[in-house]
Amino acid sequence: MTKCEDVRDGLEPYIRGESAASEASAIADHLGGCEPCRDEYEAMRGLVSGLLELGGSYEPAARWTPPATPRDERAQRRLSRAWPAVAAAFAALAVAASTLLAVPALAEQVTVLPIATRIAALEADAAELAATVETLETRLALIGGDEVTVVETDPVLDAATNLAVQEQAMAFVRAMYAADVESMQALSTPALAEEIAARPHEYTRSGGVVFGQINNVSEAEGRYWVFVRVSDTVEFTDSQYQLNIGLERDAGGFRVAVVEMDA
Amino acid sequence: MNETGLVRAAARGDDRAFAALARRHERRLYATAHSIAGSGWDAADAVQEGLLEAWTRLDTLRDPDGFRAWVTRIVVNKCHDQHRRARRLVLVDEPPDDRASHEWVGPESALDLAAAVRALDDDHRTVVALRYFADLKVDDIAAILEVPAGTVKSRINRALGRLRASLEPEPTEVPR
Repeated sequence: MTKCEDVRDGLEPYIRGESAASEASAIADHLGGCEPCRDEYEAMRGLVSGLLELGGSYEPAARWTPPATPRDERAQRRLSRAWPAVAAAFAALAVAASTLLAVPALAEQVTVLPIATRIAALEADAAELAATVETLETRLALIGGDEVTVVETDPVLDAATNLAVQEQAMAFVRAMYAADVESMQALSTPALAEEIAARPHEYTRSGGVVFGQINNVSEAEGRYWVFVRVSDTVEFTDSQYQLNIGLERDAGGFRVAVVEMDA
Repeated sequence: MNETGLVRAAARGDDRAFAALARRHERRLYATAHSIAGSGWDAADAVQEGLLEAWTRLDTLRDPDGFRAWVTRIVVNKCHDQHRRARRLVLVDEPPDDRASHEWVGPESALDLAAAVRALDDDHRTVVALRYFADLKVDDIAAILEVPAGTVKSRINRALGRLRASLEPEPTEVPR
């Protein structure tokens, strides 16, 4: 028979659904026949759910926004260029701090220090930003008859492959909005064609579509990815969203294998 | 898109996928950092710096399913870095108002519990933050804190006991 003490030690993972199956069934058996442990379990369950809820109770004022620079370059520049400014700020701060430590009476009078620190930090931030801000390269291109902004996000594959994948992806989107299931299937891998046949309404749209942006194609593990931003009047009024389209190469060219809708 | 899909897309360079991940996790990361750092502005800095580091280093994450534990570990390390930096500073002015760094969106009834968590000592507060605010498994917490899983378990149980004790109503004296 499981002792009350052992059961109570194991209650927390039991409540979180992380106990081993044998332990979980021993605890469940024990709780069925032991009222004090059952009370303990109820109290613990309330506390655990309260704590889990607490984790979502703070809405931070600052929201994440990605810097405008490509990641690899940014990482290098942060180290190489911003460092002197940061080092200077820290050196100034170290001098100020040690002075104040040595003369405690001074510390009371020099209330300006946090502002000076903040200014130094802002200057360092500004230097870092100046070093990292770069213009995102875009160009207009005619792809399959539609003029669309191309964002140069990735190192380009060879131009012909890049264009072929983009054309196929945009042709697929046009077929979606024409609710042309046959064309969509013809542009897809056999697996996706089957999936479209099973659930056509998940892939077809009605109404017009305007192509906003498309990015350079990136290739990973044999799949070619391209993100197409479109505006339409279907999902919401004048909505803008993105289709992430993954294609695979076969003997006949490229075939759409995955379509994901993104915000 | 599910989390793994977002992590993969973000690792391929899709910043909007990363922004979606950040949006998904920033509340819990902030709550965790707030609990460990003890101040709202330090927590906000730790989360921003942590997300920036995660964004730059996402290609080094091997298992996309482990994103939450990975980004939490980065943010916790940022909190510890801040703590080390703060020891070198002399504070001569009031810190900025803590409340402006976040908005409380939980129920009012949870404020007592939040205060009870804040009153725990560092070790127990940290383990509560990682277990419930960051919602991590015991093994992930053990890896972040570099202590055995058994230590994490016993700290969790002790912290829960202390929280319950501090939330129980004070016994009132009955006049005779």
